[in-house]
Parts: sequence; structure tokens; C-alpha cells
Amino acid sequence: MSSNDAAAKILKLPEVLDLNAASRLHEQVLAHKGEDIDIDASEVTRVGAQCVQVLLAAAKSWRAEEQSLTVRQASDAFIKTLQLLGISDEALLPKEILK
Amino acid sequence: MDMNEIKEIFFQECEEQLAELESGLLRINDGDSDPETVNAVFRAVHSIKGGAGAFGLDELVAFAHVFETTLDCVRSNKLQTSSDLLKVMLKSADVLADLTAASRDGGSIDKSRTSVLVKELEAFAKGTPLPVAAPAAEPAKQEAPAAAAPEPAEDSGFQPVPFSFDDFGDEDDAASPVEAGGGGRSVFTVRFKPRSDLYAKGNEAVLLLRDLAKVGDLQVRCETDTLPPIDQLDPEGAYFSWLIRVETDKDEDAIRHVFEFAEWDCMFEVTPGADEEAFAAQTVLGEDQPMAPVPFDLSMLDDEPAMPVAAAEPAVVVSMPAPAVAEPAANPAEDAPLAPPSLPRAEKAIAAEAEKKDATVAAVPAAPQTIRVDLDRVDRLINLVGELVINQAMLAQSVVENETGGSSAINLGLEELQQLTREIQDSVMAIRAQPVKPVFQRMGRIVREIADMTGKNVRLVTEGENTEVDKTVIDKLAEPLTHMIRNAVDHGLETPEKRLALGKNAEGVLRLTAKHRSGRIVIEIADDGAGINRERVRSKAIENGLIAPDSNLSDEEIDNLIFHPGFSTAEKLSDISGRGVGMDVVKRSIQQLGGRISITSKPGKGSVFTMSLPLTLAVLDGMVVTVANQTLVVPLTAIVETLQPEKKDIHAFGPTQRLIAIRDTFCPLIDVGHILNFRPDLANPIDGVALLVESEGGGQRALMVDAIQGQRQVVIKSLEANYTNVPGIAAATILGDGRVALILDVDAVVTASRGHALSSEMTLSATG
Amino acid sequence: MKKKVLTVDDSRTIRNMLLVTLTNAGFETVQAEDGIEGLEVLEESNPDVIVTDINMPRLDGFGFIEGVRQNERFRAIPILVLTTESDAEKKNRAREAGATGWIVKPFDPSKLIAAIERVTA
Repeated sequence: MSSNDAAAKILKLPEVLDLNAASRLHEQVLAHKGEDIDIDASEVTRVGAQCVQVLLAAAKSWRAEEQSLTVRQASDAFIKTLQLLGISDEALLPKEILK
Repeated sequence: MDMNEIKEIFFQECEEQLAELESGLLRINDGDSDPETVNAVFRAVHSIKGGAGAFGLDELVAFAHVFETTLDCVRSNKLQTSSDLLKVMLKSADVLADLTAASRDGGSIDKSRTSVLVKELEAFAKGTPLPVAAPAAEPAKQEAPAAAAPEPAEDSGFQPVPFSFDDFGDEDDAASPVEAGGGGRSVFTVRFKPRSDLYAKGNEAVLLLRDLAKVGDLQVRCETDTLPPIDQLDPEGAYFSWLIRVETDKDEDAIRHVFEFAEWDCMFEVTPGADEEAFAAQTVLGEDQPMAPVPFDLSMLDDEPAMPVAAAEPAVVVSMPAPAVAEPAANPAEDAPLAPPSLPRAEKAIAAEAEKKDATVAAVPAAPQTIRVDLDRVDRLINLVGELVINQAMLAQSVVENETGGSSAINLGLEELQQLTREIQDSVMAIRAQPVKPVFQRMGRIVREIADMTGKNVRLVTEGENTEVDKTVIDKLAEPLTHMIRNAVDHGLETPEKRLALGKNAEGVLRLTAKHRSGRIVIEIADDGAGINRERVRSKAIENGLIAPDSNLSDEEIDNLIFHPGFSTAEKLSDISGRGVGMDVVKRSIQQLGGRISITSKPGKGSVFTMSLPLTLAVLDGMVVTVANQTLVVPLTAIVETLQPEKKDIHAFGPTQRLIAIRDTFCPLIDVGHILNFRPDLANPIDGVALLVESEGGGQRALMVDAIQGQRQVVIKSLEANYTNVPGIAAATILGDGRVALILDVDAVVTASRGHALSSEMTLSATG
Repeated sequence: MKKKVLTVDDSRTIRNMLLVTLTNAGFETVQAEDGIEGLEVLEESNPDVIVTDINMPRLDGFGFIEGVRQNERFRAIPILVLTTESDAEKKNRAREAGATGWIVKPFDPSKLIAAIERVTA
């Protein structure tokens, strides 16, 4: 298993990632297990802590398995929420913000 | 909509709630043990309290609160209902009604009565009921009249907050720190670990942090080590916890306030000062579960914050170095308050409720849909329909007059129009129709009050309260009904001792019934008391010169003497029926509504007053007559019979009076044309028709008119509204041919004809 | 975008106050008179937040809240309990049923709005 950016699957996040979206997000992420994925968070307007938990757990797990999981496009709301929650995982936030 | 309109709605609603309250209490009194009845009663008081609080009606709030507290004890089965309790509660309902009325109309209420009731209610709620004292026996110790002091309300933390739409402040927005680093800024350390319930109940850590950021500047550190690998993660679990440094010019309460809703479902701590050690430690709020594998650790960098939080003062947000090696919890004591997530339990409970509630939902019938409409609008509609009826009649008339070849199409169309018009009229009238229930319910209170005053035991039974009648009729019904009820309790029913001695139940029964009968509403008030004391009525009537000492009257005639003006059987003027109002006034007010009243009585068994009223005051069944070339309408309800006078029946009586012999009685003959000044001289009765009418006081009069044109339903047009009040004329109408016809005020005509010889008339008609 | 509030209260007085307060504050408001109607209106209105009374005929606030929380589509909606009950027991029951927060009646308009802002994104 090796990373291959070109072949990365794209997972597009819905606008609202609230309590109701957490289970579905979890399933979607699990369905890509073992694959490199790029996450498109450009449409996200609202994200709750539980969905952040899912994404961060995925980031950790992917890293442990040396797969790539990267948020490629992130909306302002997505970035701001992660910052507010004190999350600064490099897989989830754009590098220029994390510096 | 402004506050006054909402207040108006509030008082309307109060009336409904008060009615609900009273009828509920009465049902409980009658043995209804349905918990929903108690609930409804509780809700009624509760709702009044809620609205009253919003308008700052403190007296009302204070009393409603005490009342509600006692009702809550009943609702939760802490307090058993008893007849003593219900007596107190019914009185409390009356006081609540008084307080509501006083709040609306101004005026004062009997504070001593209120304070006595407050004590009684509180005693019941405490489980130590006071002996129920006679209402007046304990004249206000005035310690704390509930109405004056909202003290009991404060006991339970219920604080009325007067409501005003001007109250909008921007307190929340003022939360962002203005003077960075200014004096009075302090630092707090907040530890916050949500449980999954917090999310399940719609709270959200993101929003809590957002609001916390409004209190001051934050450094947020998220503890993520408890996060399991993705495939073991419960997506709706709660793994994150936070350590937050808050720098603010506000106090600790401002921080706690943010977590007010959340604190039930999370571990939450605020400590003054910065806990740099904790910040430095890797696991701030670690749980005793294995650490998740952490290949790279988080670097807590926030140099370019996009949040307004830090934007206000970026300098404060410093980067926190996070040691790469996990350590055990820095402060194990902090773990103690953490409770395990309790999602499974909550889910089970919800699932169990689910089935239960599905059944409930299905069992509850949908309430009929209603809308509220301004009475003015309805009246405008009624008026227009009235015009339509007239217009339709005029159209029909002109078709007849023009004899347009008798076109069957036109006639058919006209007939249909007439049918439709009538249906529209009926439907519109039905809009104004309302059940008599509210009036009947008010009578319950009247009965209780009089029973209290006279020391009688009375049970009021109502039947047919859903019978509908025009709102105007309902509005005017309360007064005569009140008099009659008072009269029945005061004079009709015996004292409990006397009843027991007679072998009757100590409790007298007053039965109030409403029903529809041949296009009218009939209301009966029946008591099981002593019945009319005919001997006494008779001697009183003789004493007052109403009848001759030797007159020979039937039982019915004697009974009906009580409706005679000036007749009052009350030997002493009591508080209750001695307000200078006799049954004659009752009769007159009912007649003014186009109604009739009569009494039947059985000695020892009781009396029944029966009144019949028109269903609406907007239309009237009338007899159209001609008087001195004028067309008049006489209300059909007033007419007993019509007759063709013969010469032998007419007797002169004094210079201007004439009598007509009807079978074996004599009856004054009134020339309507003369009374109304249509003609200067008396007409010859032989040329006319006599209408025998029932007038106030039970006597009959013959009204002489020239000719009868026929009977028809007419739409009443107020003369006062359109012209001016004319003596002897009640109103006007417009006939099919477009002519205006005046509607005769029979009582006024009879009164005008009187002036003297009243008692002799009575004697004559009685002895004949 | 205007936030939509569903209010559930059997008192016409309170409903009107809520309507005026919320409208003035720029919310879109839908209303129901009891828990059953509340669940019906919920389906067609999809609100951002719910404000509900406790004591209501047919289906009270507790039952209503439970009904919302077990509804797959709407269970995440924040629910504020609006009631004169300020005692712990009522609050407790409302919390257990799934309430997000509460507002003590008679409510102060600014506090009502603040509470709504607190629980909505």
C-alpha cells in the first residue's frame, strides 16, 4: 500500500455536518479505508464537534496506516470551527494556516 | 400587533381559562377522577399565571401561584380531593376571576377574602388543612394579603418579569472585550468535557466555545487522545475535551452562564487564574482508557486565526508547545467528575417512550379548527345580507308588478335567488350563534354565593349548555338569569333543616336547562323547593291593591302575579333579591329580547320558570298591519291571538278608554293609530282588527289596527342608528316593495296607554 | 438567511408574544398549539430551533421533545423549553426528555433571543 496522489478518491463533505451527519460521515470514511482520500470541505457551512471527531480519528488512522488523507479545499466555516475547537491537525487544515 | 392587543388577547384567554377552570372543578366535585381533568384545571391556572406575569400583573400572579401550587399537589396525588378542598378551590376560582377582572378594568377586590383563601390553599398544600371557616368568620388578619404581597411567589423562585418589546438590548454583543489589557481583566481556566448526551440534546461544543469567545479571549486546547481508531469510533460519541484559558473583564458567572444549558451533560469546571501546568501537561482531562496511537502529534498553532475570537487581540493567543510523549493525567483528581457516556440508556428510554406515545397520538382526536373574527366584521356581513334580503324582495315585487310576461325563467331564477338568500342569511346568523355555556357557567358562581349567604345547600345542574343562540341574546341573558337564579335559591329553596324535616335531601337542586324548540331557544330554571306560596302571593297582591280581595284566580294566574310590576314576595329586603329588582323587571328584559316567560309551580315540589327567546335579534317574525295608511310590523311573539271585534263586545270605560270583551274577560282596547298620533280621534273598533298581546305584568291588551296584511320575516334596522329613537317604535324594516315599515314596540305602546286604572284593569281581567 | 423558529404553546397570549418578539428580532416563526400539532408542523417546516411550553393539552412538552428527539430527520434540532416552571424537577424532566435549554416564563424578549442565539449556529 503506497500513497498515490493522482489516484486519491475524493470525498465531498455536505454543507451541514451536524449530529445527524456524523454516522453517515463515519460510514463514508470507513468505506474508503485503505485508500488515499482527498476531502473536499469547500461546501461546509456548519460542522459540529462530533463530525470533527470522525475526521480527526480518520486522519489519525490513515496516518497510522501510512495512507494519505488530506483536506484539499476547506471553506472558511470549516477552518474557523477547527480553530475554535483547538484542532490543528495538518491533515485537516491547510498548511498556510498551520504554518 | 402591539402590547395592548396582546393584552386584550390575554384577557379573552383568561375568560376561557376561567370557564375551563370552573367547569373542571365542578366535574371533579361530581366525582370525575380523570387525571386529565385535574391537568386541564391546573393548566388553566398556570396559563393565567404565565400571561399575567408577562404583563406584570403581580396580584394576579401571586394568587394564581398559590392556587397552582395546591393544584399541583392534587395533580401529583400528594393531596386527595375532598369536598372541603373543592369548596376552597371553587371560591379561589371566583377570586381569580375577580382579580382578572380587576386587572383588566381597574377597581379593587376584597383583599381579606383573598388572604383567607391564600391561607386555606397553602394549608391544603402543606397537608394541614385549616378547618373550613365560614367565609366572613375570619375577618382578615391582614398579615400578608396575598394580593398585596407577592411573597409566596418568591418562595419558589417565580419572579414576574414585566414584558415589554422595548426590552431588546444588545447585551450579548457587548461581550467582546474592548480594552485589551485594560485594568480589571482576569484569567480563568475552564475545563470542559462533554458527554454524548450533550450532543444528543442539541447542544454543541462548537457553539459553547463560540459563546465563550464572546466573554473574553481564549486559548483553546483540545484533548484528542481519547479518540479511538476510526473503526472503533462511535460517530455520536463524545471524545474531545477542552482546556481553555479565558482572559476577560467579566466575572466567573459570565463564563458559567455560557455553559448553563450544557452543564448537565458535561464535566465543567472554572477556576480563577491560569493553570499553566495543566496547559503544559499532555493529558489534561485524559480518561483511563488506552491511548490512541499518535504517530504525529498535534501542533497547536493558531497564528492566523480566522475567528473573531482571537482577532480582537491576536497577541494573547500564543502557541502552545505540545510534548510528543503522552503522560498520565497530570491531575487525577480532575477525572473524578467525569461520568461515562450514557447514550445507550438514553436511547433505550427514548425507544420505550416511542411506542407508548404512538398510542397516545392515535387516541387523541383532532380539535375542530377555528378562527377568531372581529365581531364588527360579522355584523357588517349580517347587515349586508339584510340588505340583500330586502333587495331580493324588492326585485321579486317589481317582477310581479311589471308582469314581464310571466317568464318562467325569471321566476325560476327569482325563486332560486330567494332560496340562496335565505340560506346565506341562515349561515351568516349561525356565525353569531354561540353556546350558552359561558352564561350558564357564570351561574355556578351566583349559586355558590347566594347559597353561602342564605346558608342553603344547593347543587346546580346544567343541561344543554351547548345550545346555541345569537351572541346578542347571550349577552343580554345573564342579567335576567342571575335574578331568576337568585330568586330561586332565596325564595324557592328551603333551608337544609327545613328540607330534612320535610323528608327531602338537605341539598336542593337547581336545574338550568337550554334547548331549541320550534325556532326559539327555551331556557328553564327548575328548583325542587317549596313552590309558590299561593296564599302569600294572593294576600300580598290584595295588600298591594293588585287584585280585589274577593277575586277568584286560578293557580296559574296567582303564580303569574309575581311578574306584576311592584310585586315582591320578599318579606324583608335581603341582600340577594332585594335589590329593588322584582320578577317584573326580569319579565320586561326578556320581553325586550322578544321573549316570553312563564312559571309553573307545584306546592312542596318546586317551581319551573320557562323562558323562550328568539335565536337572533337581527330578524324578526312579524305581522304586517295597516294603521292610518301606515304600514307597521308587530312582532309575532307578542301576539296571543287576533280577533274581529263586534259591536257588542266593545264597552266604553271612562271618557277615552274602551274595553273589549274576550270570552269571559275584559281587556283594554288600545287604538294604535291614536297612541302613535297617526290620527287625532279614536277609530271605530268595528272597522278594524284587534291583536291580543301579552304585555308586561301578565295582563293582556287588545291593540286595534286597521287591517292585517300578512306575516313575514323582516330584517331589523335600528332606528336609533339611522334616525333617532321614536317612542312606541322599536325599529324599522324595509318591505319588499321598498317601503319602510316601522316595527311596533308593544310594551311601549301599552305603557303609553296606561297612566291610570291599572289595578282596576287587573281586577277586571281577573274577575271578568 | 432568516432562522426559522417553531414555537409550541397552548396559550394564545404567549404565542402572540413569541410571534411579535421573534418577528421583531428577524426570525421566521411557525407556531403550533400543542405537542401533536408541534410534531405535524415540524414535518412541514423544518425549523432551526424549537421553543416549546411544557403544560399543554393532548401532548405535553415532555412528550413533544421526546417525539422530536426520536425523529431521524429532526433529532438534532435544539429545543428550548419555555415554561413558568423554574423548579429543578421540571427542568430535569425536560432535560431527560432531550431539551437543549430553557427559558423561564415570563420571558424577557432579549433573554429569549439570547437563548435562541446560544443554541443555534
